[in-house]
Amino acid sequence: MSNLADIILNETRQIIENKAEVCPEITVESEFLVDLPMDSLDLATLIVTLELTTGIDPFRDGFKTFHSIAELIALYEGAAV
Amino acid sequence: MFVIDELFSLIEPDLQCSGIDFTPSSSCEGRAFIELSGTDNTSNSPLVSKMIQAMLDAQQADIPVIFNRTNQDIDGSNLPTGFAIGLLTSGTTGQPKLVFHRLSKLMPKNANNPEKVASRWLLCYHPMSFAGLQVILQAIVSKDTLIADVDANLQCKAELAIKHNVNAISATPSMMRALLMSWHTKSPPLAVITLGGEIADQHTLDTIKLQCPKAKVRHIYATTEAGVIFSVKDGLAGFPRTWLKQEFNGLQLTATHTLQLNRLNESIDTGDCITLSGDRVLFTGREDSLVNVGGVKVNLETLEQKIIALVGITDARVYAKANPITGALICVELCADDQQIAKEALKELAEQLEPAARPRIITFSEQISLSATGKKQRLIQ
Repeated sequence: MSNLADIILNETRQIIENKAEVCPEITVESEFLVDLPMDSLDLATLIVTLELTTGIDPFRDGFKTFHSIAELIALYEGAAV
Repeated sequence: MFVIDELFSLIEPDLQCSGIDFTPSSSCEGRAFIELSGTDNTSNSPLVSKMIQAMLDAQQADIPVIFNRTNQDIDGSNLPTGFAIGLLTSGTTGQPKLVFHRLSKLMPKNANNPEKVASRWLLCYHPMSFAGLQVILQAIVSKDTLIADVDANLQCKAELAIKHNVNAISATPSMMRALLMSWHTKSPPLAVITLGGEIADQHTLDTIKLQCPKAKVRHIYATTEAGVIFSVKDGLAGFPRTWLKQEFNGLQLTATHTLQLNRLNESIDTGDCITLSGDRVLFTGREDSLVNVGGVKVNLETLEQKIIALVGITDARVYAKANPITGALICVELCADDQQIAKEALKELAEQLEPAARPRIITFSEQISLSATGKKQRLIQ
């Protein structure tokens, strides 16, 4: 698994645990708003945290849809090239 | 007209001028204006000395002088006639603009007060900002001593204040909090503290009183359009409610959700949000500090005041970071002696806030990042 994927999985887990929620098993197929106890503010936190830690902002030119962890990883890997 | 009295002294790095001989030079004859760049500070020719010399030269030649703080391209085609001082605006709401001021508008009103004691001023602001230039002129007119080190950060300025026994200071509340943190073991003998440019909250005023008990503290309310409106000297945040019926500089104050300044046919909306609390009118933040977090409006400054008042937190900067999901996200930069205590206190506060207002990104720093004008940056793209 790529370094970026590791970071995304770790930060997602961190955000869920900070809410004092029990973190379910996260896989790349997990969908943020369906399978994980996350809301839109948590997603925004994840995006901002990722920008701060990786320096990558795949949304610079506007919003792009994503639902699952795998889709988000693809966006970051695409923007990092 | 201003002249430099021999009692005025200026202390800059590698330069100590007492009884300065600033003689106007005639080298400016035939020139349309004088321009000095804010990045032109060198140890053998420090900036404040050069600014004073430039003002004297421009006054002598009766031409404008431009203090170009951020070294921008200047359009020389639309200059005022005669002596005027050009300064760049802070640029908080866009690109900095060049605005010319007549000397009479900049000159302090309270000079030559016979009861005044000799002051040693620390220059906290950039000398090419409106507030910075006022401190320079105040020191010149009152024949005081001015200690300036343009490139020093606030921690170094705090040390300079102790080294030179500074007893007068003009700063934003954010600058003042940073200085107080540096002075936790020893403070300079401050007698006069003037706050301006941001909200002076009760917590900051109380901390100043505790750490500098002998200082006379006042906080000034001024706007870009109308200049200084009033100054508050009772050590309490905001201003007395009875002032809403009074006139200041020909302006009648009225309260809606923001403070309004009215004269005959004109009403200026200051954009400063206020709330009435007992016999006080309190400032709660700029109207443009209101950000939209996923459809919920959050006032960054109101939230920041709550955070600064928490136990263990010495200063904070609440800002909004843009993101594609909720538009803005609330973030906070904190100064604290014990990060664990600060985190706990913030967590407790966050539980009482609506989810959109909870700071999501929390960072710690030794000193809050401030803009060139000593204010906190609020919106990050």
